[in-house]
Amino acid sequence: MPKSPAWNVIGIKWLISFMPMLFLLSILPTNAEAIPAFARKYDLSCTSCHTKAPRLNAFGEAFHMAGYQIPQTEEGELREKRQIGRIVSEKTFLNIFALRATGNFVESISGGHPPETNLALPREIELYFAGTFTEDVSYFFNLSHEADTIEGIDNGRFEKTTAFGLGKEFFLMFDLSPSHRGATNMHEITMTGPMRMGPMIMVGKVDPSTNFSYPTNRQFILDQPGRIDTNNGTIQRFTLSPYAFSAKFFGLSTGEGNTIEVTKGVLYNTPGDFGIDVHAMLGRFMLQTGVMQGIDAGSADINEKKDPYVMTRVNFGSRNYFSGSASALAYWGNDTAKVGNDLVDWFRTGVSGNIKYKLLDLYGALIWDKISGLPAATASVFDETAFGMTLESDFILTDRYLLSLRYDRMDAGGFANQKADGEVLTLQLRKYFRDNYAVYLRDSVNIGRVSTNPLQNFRNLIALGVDLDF
Amino acid sequence: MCTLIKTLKRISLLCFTIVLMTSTAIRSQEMDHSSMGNPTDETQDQDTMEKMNGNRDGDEMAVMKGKMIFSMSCVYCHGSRGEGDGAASMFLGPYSHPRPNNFTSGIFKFRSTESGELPLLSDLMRTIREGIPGYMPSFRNMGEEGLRAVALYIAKAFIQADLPTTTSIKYVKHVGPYIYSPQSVRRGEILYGIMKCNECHGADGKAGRTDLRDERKLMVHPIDLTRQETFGNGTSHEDIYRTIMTGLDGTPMPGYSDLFKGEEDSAWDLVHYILSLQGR
Ligand code: HEC
Ligand code: HEC
Repeated sequence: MPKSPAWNVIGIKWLISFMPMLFLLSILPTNAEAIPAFARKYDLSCTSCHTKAPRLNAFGEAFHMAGYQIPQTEEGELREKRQIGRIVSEKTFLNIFALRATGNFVESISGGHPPETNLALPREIELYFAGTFTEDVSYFFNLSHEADTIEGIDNGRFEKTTAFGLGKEFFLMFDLSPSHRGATNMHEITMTGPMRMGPMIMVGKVDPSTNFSYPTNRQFILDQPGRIDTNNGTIQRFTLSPYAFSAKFFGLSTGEGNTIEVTKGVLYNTPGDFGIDVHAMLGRFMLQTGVMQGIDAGSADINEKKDPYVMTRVNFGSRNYFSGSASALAYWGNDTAKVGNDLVDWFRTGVSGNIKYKLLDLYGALIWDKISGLPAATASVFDETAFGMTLESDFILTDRYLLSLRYDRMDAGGFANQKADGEVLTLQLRKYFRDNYAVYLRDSVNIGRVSTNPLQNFRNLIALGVDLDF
Repeated sequence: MCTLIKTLKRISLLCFTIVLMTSTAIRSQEMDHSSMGNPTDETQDQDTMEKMNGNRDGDEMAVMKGKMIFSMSCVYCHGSRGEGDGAASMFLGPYSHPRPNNFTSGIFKFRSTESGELPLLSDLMRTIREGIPGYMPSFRNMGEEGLRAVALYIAKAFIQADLPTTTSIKYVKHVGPYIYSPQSVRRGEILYGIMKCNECHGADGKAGRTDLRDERKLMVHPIDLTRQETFGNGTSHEDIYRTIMTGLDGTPMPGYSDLFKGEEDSAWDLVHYILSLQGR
C-alpha cells in the first residue's frame, strides 16, 4: 500500500486517539436479536433475509421480489403470530417502521490538497415505513435527512447541502399476478405451471437497480462525501462511491443546468427517481422494464422525453450453500443531460453478477456509457464513451465480523481537458455488536494517480463510522 | 324353506368370516411392510400416505402442491434436496446453532415422539404453522391444507420413511390437580435441581454452559429459560411439557420421558417452575 509521509503522521495520531473509543464500543452489551420492521413483524432475526444488513440473501431477495411478503403465504398483512403462548394481532406501529443512521465519526484523508481530519456526526438518518396494505398492494416510504451532500449548481460549481425530505424510494407496489386464491381445488393450484411471481408494478420514486444482481443501494461500504471550496463553489474532491454506477462524464449537467457530479449514481443505477417499473419472474428468469423521468427531473415532468429501460436476470443455485445470479441492463436516456446548452442522449448498458457460497458473497458490475447527439463544436474535444467497474467481496469472518474488499475503476469520458480516470481499492472491517448495529473501520486507497483533479485528489482515506438500524 | 334359510345364514356367516380374516391379514401385512420401511418402494410410500390421512388421489395431489410450495418458500433455507444447505442457510447461523436441519438425516428437534424417533405429521405441521422465533417465519397464512401438503412432501421426498402415527409418551392433561399453584412451582424448583437442568441452563435458568455443540459440531447455547419468547418448540404449558419429555434431538437437550415414566404429572411442576422464571 503506497504511503505518503502525511498519512503516517495523521493516520497514527488518529489511530491512537480513537483506540479508546473502539474499546468502549466493543464492551457494550452484545446479545439480543435484531429488530427492524420486518424482523419485528415476522419474529425473525435480520440474518433470515440479509447476509448482513443491508445486503439480502436468497430468501430476502424472494421476500423483496414478492412485494414484502413471504412467498406462497399470500398474506397481505400477517395478521396473527405466536407470541408468548398466545396468538396476538401483530398490527403495531413498530412492525411497519424502521430507522437507519449511518455515517463517519471521524475521517482522515491524506495525499490530497490539503490533507484533512474531521470529526462528524452520522450524516444520514432514514426513516422507513414499509409493509402491505392488502394482499396485492405493498408500500415502501422512505424519508431521509442527509447532511453534507454535494449538489451541482450551474457551470461546474457545487454546494454542500443538508436535505430533509422524500428519501431514496417512495412507492406503491401492485401485484398483478393471476391469483391462486380463487382456485377452488388443489388440481387448479398445481396445474399452474412453473414457479412464477408477479408481474409487480412499482409506481413512485423507485430504484430500478433494486433487482439487479448488484443493487446500487445495498452497500456495505458507504459513500464518502467529497469536499468543496466554499469560497468559490469549486469541487476539490468528488464523493467516493461505486464507480460502476456513477455518471463518469466530466462536463455534463442536468436538464435544469445543474452540474452532474462525476461520481453521482445516475440512470438505471440512480439511488431512486420518479418512474414506473414492472418486473416479473418465471422460473429462474426475471424480466424488468420501466420508464424514468431522467436525472433530477423531480416529480414535475420537465423532461419531455422519458427514459425507458430493460433488465433481465437469471438466478441459479438452490443447494450446497450456493446461489447466484447474472443480470444485463440497457437504459436509453433520451435528452437526459446537457453538454453546454444542448440536450444529449445517454445510453447505458451493463452486466452484473453475484455468487454466494457459504459465507462468501462475491459480486460486481461492469457498466458502459455512451453519449450521442453532441453539438458539432464540442464533438472533437469530448470523449463520448465511459466505462466503470465495481467488484466486491464480502466475507463473514465470525458471528460478529464482516470483511469487505471493493475495487472501483472508472475510465471517464467528457471534456478531454477536465477528465481523469480513477482506481480505488477499499478494505473495510465491520464489527456487528448486534445484527442491527455495526461499527466500521475503512481504508480507501487511490491506487491510480494522485493529482489536483477532484477524482484523484487523495491518496488514502481512513474512516471510522457507524451503521445502526432500528 | 327352513333349511334354505339356514343354509343361506351359514353361507353368509362363512362369507363374513372370510372377509374378516382376509382384511385383518391384509392389514397386518401392511403393518409388517411399514415396520420394515422400504423407503424406495413407490407404491408402498403411497400406501403409507393413504393410511396416514385420506385418499390416495388427494395425497398425490397434496404432495405435488407441497413440492410447489417448498420450491417457492422453503428452498432458500432448506435447499432443494432438503439437506439444510439452501443458499440462505449459513447466514442464519454463520458459526453457531441453529441452521436449517437436514431432513434426510431424520433428526428432528420438535416432536411429540420419543427421543430418536421421527416426528408425527402433525408435529411437522405445527412447526411450519408456528415458525421458529428468530429463524423461520410462521406459515400460518398458508392454511391447513397447504401446511399438510408441504409436510407430506417433506416426509415423502426427504425423510423417505413412514412417519409414526402415535407416540408412546403419555401427555397428561393440564387440568384438575395439575394446574398452576405456588406449591407446584416450589416442587418444580426442586426437580430442576434434582434432574440437573441447572448443569446446562444455570441455577437461575439464564444459560450457563458455553461448551456445548450440536450434532453438526456447531456451538449451541442452552436457551435462556427466562425468555420464553425465544423458545423454538412453543411457549404454552403443553409446548414446554412436550419439550421436557421429548428433548430436542440433534442438540444436547435430552428428553426426560424415561425419568417421568409413571409420574408424568410431576412434569407439570417443572413446567410451572420454568414459566415462573419469565422476565427475571
Ligand atoms: C428463513 C429460513 C427458513 C425458511 C424460509 C424456512 N425454514 Fe424451516 N427451518 C429453518 C431453520 C433455521 C430451522 C432449524 C431451526 C432450529 O433448529 O431451531 C428450520 C427447521 C424446520 C423444520 C424442522 C424442525 C425440527 O423439528 O427440527 C421443518 C419441518 C421446517 N423447517 C419446515 C419448513 C418449511 C415446510 C418451510 C417452507 C414452507 C420452511 N421450513 C421455510 C429456516 C427456514
Ligand atoms: C446437556 C445439557 C442440557 C440439560 C441437562 C438440559 N438442557 Fe434444556 N436445553 C439445552 C440446550 C443446548 C437447549 C437449546 C437447544 C436449542 O437451541 O435448540 C435447551 C433448551 C431448553 C428449552 C427450550 C426449548 C425450546 O423450545 O427451544 C427448555 C424449555 C429446556 N431446555 C428445559 C430444560 C429442562 C427443564 C431441563 C431439565 C429437566 C433441561 N432443559 C436440561 C441443554 C440442556
